[in-house]
Amino acid sequence: MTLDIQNVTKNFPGPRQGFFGRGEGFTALDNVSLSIRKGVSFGLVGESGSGKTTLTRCILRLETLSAGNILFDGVDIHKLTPLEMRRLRSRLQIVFQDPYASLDPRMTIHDIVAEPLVIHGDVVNLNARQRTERVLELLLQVGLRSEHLFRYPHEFSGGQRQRIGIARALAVGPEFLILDEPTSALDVSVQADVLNLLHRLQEELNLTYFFISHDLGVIRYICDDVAVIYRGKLVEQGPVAEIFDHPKSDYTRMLLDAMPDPDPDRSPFRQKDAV
Amino acid sequence: MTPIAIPERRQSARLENWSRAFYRFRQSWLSIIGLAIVIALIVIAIVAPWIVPHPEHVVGGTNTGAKFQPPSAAAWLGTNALGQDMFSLVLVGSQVSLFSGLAVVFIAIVVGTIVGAIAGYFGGWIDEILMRITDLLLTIPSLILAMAVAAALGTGVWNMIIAISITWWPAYARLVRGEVLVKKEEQFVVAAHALGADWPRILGKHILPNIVSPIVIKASLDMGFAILTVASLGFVGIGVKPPTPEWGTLLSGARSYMPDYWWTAVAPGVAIFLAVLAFNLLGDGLRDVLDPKARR
Repeated sequence: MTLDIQNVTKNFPGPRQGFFGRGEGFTALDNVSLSIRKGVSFGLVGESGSGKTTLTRCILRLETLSAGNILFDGVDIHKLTPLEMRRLRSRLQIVFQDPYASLDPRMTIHDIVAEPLVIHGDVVNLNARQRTERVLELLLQVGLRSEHLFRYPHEFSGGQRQRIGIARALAVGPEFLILDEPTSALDVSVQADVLNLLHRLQEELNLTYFFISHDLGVIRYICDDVAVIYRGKLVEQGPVAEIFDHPKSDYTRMLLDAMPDPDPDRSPFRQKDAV
Repeated sequence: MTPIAIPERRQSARLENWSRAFYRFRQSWLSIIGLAIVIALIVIAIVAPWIVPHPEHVVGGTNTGAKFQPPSAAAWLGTNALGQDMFSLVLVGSQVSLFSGLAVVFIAIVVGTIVGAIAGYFGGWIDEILMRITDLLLTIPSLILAMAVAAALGTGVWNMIIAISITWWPAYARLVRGEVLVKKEEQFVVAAHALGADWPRILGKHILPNIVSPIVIKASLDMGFAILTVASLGFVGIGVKPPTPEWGTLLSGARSYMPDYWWTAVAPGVAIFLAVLAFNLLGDGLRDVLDPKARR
């Protein structure tokens, strides 16, 4: 097991009322348990506000847990010291949903991708020259060109920026990658490119993916296992083929029914009598 | 694997931004005038000791035989009660005004940014404590505090600068705190957290570089007021001691000879007016370039 999420609950406290009181809180995650095996792509599906992003924030320790444990390789992430946590971050990286907001507009691509190498200097231990070479290698690996090195994020398209985000996540050689809706902000044609890139990288680098999406087609394309989350609760989980072909819960069935069929002959908008 | 050639560091993107910014700045001729006067003032302040026609008057020399001469070819702005050449005094006076103005704004930015950034970034009780201190200082009028400091520590350029700075940094602290609160939630900052960056790195490399624009705008607009405050303190007799010429002191010395010897007041008065106006025009121009949303 690589990542083990055990009975995780996350409450957000309500607004302050008076001096000591608090309004009603919100339970973003309710007793969520799932385990992700090494080397697989694990998909998490759910609608907006179902707790997908909160779960990633909890895994990255950007939020504290109200209850439960998150184990990475048997180590409880939320019990590590700050130094141990920093070490662990070099093995656990994330690609964000919005490629426009997740890159610092004042930094060059070189500095953005090199930043994790600087932060984790005690692990990777490269000098400035070697860092630049590593950054170039990464850019080529994600399908960018060497002349992009000293440009700024605003000079790139959404798909290219997402590649930069992937290069940054891969810089320190992580084993586990959280992909928080990495393609939902992109055009459909670009989505396919990025998905293929992620697929190739997983094989080349032997990565484990935790892939979050609300797009079932994307999940089916890239994932081995899938879990469905609804209002902070896991509805069901299992291998992709099983869940897609034999959904057990009504919610999953509803999601699958809402999935648009790429075949125009089966479109609900097709006029019945037209040939 | 074949070695990959590292391309030349490409500066054209940054250069392009600058040229675009300058183009927008040029659209307003008022900004250009402001910039021109500011540059002229800075040049004059630097070279003043070498170009003044009567350097001896600047260090306290008098020529009572030629007192209250009206403006003429010999003394362009006339002479004062001690027969000193007003033109020389006003030129050299720019040094104190500009230097104090810059020093006040600089100290205010440094202190205000540190306090505001820490308060905004850490929040909680640190924020509460720092911001209550800030609010407290905002209630003190700078002129009164400067007088109190002058009374306690004696007059002098540095005492004056410190006194004004004490009441000026809270405004920067409030500005920076607000901006940090906004940037803290940006996704590239969250990304830096997830990468494992520590707080000095996140503040220094990600948040502060992205809030430079509003600070620069406020600083350039404040420069004019700082010069005005310095002159006010000179006028009421705190700050620079004679014989060092300073615009406010010169104006206050000319007060009793109005309106017969008007040039002794007009010369430093116009200098103050020009300096304040120029920095305000420059600040407006910079705001249009750096913060297009605030454009009227």
